[in-house]
Amino acid sequence: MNECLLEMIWVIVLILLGAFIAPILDGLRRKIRAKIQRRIGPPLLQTFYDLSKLFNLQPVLPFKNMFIVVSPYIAFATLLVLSAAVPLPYVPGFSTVFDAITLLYTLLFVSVLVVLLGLALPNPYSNAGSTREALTITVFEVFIAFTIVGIAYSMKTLNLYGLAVLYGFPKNYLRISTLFLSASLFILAYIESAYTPFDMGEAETEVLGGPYLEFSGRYYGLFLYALLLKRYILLSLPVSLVLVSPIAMMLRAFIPEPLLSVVVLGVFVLFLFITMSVYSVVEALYPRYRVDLAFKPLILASVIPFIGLVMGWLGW
Amino acid sequence: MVEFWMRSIEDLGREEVMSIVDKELHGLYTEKYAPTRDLIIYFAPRENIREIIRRLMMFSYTRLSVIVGNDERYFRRDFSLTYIVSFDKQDLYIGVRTYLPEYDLEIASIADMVKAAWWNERENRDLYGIEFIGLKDKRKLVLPEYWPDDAHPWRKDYPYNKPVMDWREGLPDYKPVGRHEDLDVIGLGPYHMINDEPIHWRLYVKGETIVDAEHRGFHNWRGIEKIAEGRLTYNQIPFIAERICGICGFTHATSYVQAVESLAGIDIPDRARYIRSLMLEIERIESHLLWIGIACHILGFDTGFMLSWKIREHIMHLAEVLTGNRKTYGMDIVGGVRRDVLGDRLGKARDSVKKIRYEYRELYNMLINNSILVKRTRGVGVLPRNKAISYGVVGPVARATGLDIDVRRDHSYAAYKELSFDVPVYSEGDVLAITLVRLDEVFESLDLIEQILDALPGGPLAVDVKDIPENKEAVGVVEAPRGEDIHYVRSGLYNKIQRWRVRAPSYANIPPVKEMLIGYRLADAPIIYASVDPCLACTERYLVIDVDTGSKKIMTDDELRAKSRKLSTRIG
Amino acid sequence: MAKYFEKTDKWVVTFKYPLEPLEPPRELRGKPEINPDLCIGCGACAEACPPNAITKEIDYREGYAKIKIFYGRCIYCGRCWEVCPEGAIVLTNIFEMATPSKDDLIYEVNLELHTCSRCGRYTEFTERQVHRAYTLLTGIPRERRKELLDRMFLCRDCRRQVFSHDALRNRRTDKYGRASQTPF
Repeated sequence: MNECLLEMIWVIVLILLGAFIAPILDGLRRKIRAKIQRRIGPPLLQTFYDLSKLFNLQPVLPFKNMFIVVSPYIAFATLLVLSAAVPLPYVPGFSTVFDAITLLYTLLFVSVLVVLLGLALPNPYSNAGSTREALTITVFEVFIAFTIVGIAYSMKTLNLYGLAVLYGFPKNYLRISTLFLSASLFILAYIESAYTPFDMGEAETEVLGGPYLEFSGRYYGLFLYALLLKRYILLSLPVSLVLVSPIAMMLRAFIPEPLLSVVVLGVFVLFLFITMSVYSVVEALYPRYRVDLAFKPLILASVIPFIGLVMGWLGW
Repeated sequence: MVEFWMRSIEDLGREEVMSIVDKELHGLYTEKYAPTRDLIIYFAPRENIREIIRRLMMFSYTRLSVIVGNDERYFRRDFSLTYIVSFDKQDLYIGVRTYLPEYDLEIASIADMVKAAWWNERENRDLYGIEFIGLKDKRKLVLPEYWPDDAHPWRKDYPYNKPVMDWREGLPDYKPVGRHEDLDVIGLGPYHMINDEPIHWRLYVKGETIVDAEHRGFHNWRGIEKIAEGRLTYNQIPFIAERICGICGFTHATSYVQAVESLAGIDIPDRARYIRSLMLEIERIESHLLWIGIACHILGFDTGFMLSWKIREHIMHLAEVLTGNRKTYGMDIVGGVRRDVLGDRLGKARDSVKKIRYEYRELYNMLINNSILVKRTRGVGVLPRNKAISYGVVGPVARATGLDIDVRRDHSYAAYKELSFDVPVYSEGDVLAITLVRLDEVFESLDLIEQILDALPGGPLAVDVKDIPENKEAVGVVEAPRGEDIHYVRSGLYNKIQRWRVRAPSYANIPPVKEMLIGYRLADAPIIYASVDPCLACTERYLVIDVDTGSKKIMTDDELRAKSRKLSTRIG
Repeated sequence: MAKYFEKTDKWVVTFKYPLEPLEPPRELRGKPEINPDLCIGCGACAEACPPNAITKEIDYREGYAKIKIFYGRCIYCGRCWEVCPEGAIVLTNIFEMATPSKDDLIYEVNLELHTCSRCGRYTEFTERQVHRAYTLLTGIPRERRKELLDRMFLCRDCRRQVFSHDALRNRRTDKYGRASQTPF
């Protein structure tokens, strides 16, 4: 089969997978949280129902500004495209052409877009939420930078597809530095997804959803979908690099090439659910940080990728 | 400024203090009388009120509880103002009454001296038209802005069912004091995630730090006391009193019936006293668990919220089994209680107390060991002790600032004299201390319930009440979950009450929130405000819905959108 | 709710309420129901009802008394149940009363008014009230009973007339024919 056509098919499959699995992961998170809180909780597909309801609602916007009207679509489209670039070993989507820096900074671009929107809106709560979000992004930047540089240095590549394949190689995987870098990948996905202790930006009981406050109907629906996609993409980083990659490495010996991609995809989805469950349990156990309280753990956390970076540099 | 609590009298007995007060006020009052056992009323000319209150507030463990206005024109052609000061360690209320003739309704304000008078004076200004000279805050408190200045709904010549005007026409906007034009303004409410009931806080912020705060509430005010004065009989009022508040309704009903029993000199049977205590403690646990849940929710800790409400469900069920309803118990009636606690229900109550204690201990450990929860509340929203005294705060807020007051012990009622319990007191005054007071009180209440179940005496449930004497007065007081809930009742002619004043605990606890907010971050504002457990329904005493006059206007979508757009631009 | 109570030992304590039936405890003060066979239309419940959910209306033209309960205003306090002399009002366990129509929340008992045996007009009390009063007469001494029976079936105006007539007839006179004492 033509390689280009194959890649096209994989891109479409990955986009569909992302669009479908992002709300399901959210549904799983809500379900597990509910179980910890001793209630039945919403059905697994509840987020789909929420989204469909939002898309059918008539939106009310604070004022008619082209930038504001278009921005939810931009955010959603960007993240939909990015979901085709999740780094999966032996699944050649956009990951063959994307590198880690592009991925993370396109994700950040969406966050910044939301922050700018929040600051532009004539609502003090949006402004406050955006300011918090901006502060968090700024402080967390160090962590992201250390992680990317550390991984790039250890794996000697920045290409996502290359990373996904190389990460699982025994000579890369069985190093102390990789341990630290894997941990920091998990932490990165958790914090950047704004799960509970770090959801200062949209803290509902304090700033009423922050930047998203003035959006309603399908505009909010698009933002919500974009947020869910962002969380899915962030989650896919540690899952595919740390968990799927070594398994794919082992499976490569037994399963032929075209079938391997499908199997890898299945394993990926399985581990997505498992990781999400663990995240949900952690999330249910903590209240929200105040921004100034969050600085300390955020900055202290960057020690982990820093150690990974230094160890990788030393060749451990 | 008055130096609060300079003279320490908390160790002195009641008779001693009464004579000391007599001596201290000598020459300032004209006469005095004691309508009931725990209330003494001094009559004084209006020039002396400031001085009398200043002298009373110098004694330790005193606070201005409530200022009751009354329209006594049918008896003596005057309006009256009664300043009720609570002597917490002597089980004593001292009322200072002054008469103001109809044509000369002016009196010197004491709000600059005792902050507790601030809301009371504004309320009396709205409802009776009494002008307080020197009161800086001339905004309306209770009535809406569009209300005419010469219509005072609590005057007796104002019918209880008279609509004042069509509110749709000429609706003036709320005008803030607005001293800080250069600062950002953040409106918290009337509709906000944390507001279960409407209240508006106007926060002036610099960055995320709150510089000043302003309150506008009473969106719910419907004049429930007027309805009771106008058309209800003595035994109908406990039910409307219970519906003043959805959380601490039973304390209102109990407080009211205690006031009526006190003025009529009715001694209720022992079993009724114990059952009242039992229901009050059940209500306290229910309210505290609700608050713990809400506080967790505000801090983003939904697991704590759900688990706390899960335990609350047991106590609600217990209440349902004992009274027939989950929340509005409907147990109180003048002269006793209505429903008995029978054998199998006693057993159920014991079982569920055991279960609640076990589950609550787990929750307690989970909460106090949660580091982020402690970090978010420690050192936040500190209320200094002298301000707490000046504002006359009550309940857990007072006990968190080191004031050792608890109405159950200090103005003992129902069966509390025969029961033993501790009053948890912390001295930090921050949100953590308030939380800990509430957390500890749940254990005390569980103990109390077990004691009551063990010691429940036999006998009748209620005494037969023949006639309520006319033209007598009394206060009824109950320690609600939020603090002292005081009802002033004056009986009138034709089996109706002449004046009923409800001072819910939140009425004393919400004004100091303004002080607690200043200097902290916007992120802390919800938990600081929630820490006093604001119960606006009590404070504003609403809930009467007039079916006939309920009016509404239907807006088209475009109008609504244009309006919301306008509003959001303006707030920005 | 009882179900909830028993389920607490399990991990999940909520349940799918509208889809599952819910058994309230038997102590619940639910919907008060008037038994039209027992109600005598005395209106004691209407007197006691704090929120005026129960009202009593009398239609003199058609000749019936109407005891009307509007559940929309009911606060489920159970005062009506306590004061009812006949036990005609019972509190049930029913609490699911949501309805799209307000009319579903209204229940009326129409009772025939008694007709005065003297003037033939409708009195303000019902036939059943008179009957009930009649049953109460059993323990009363004969003389007094007869006196009461005479007036029991009359309307208020006729009673007044009969009473004054009797009084005038029975008044004691002194030997000069003057009333020694006023009959009233």
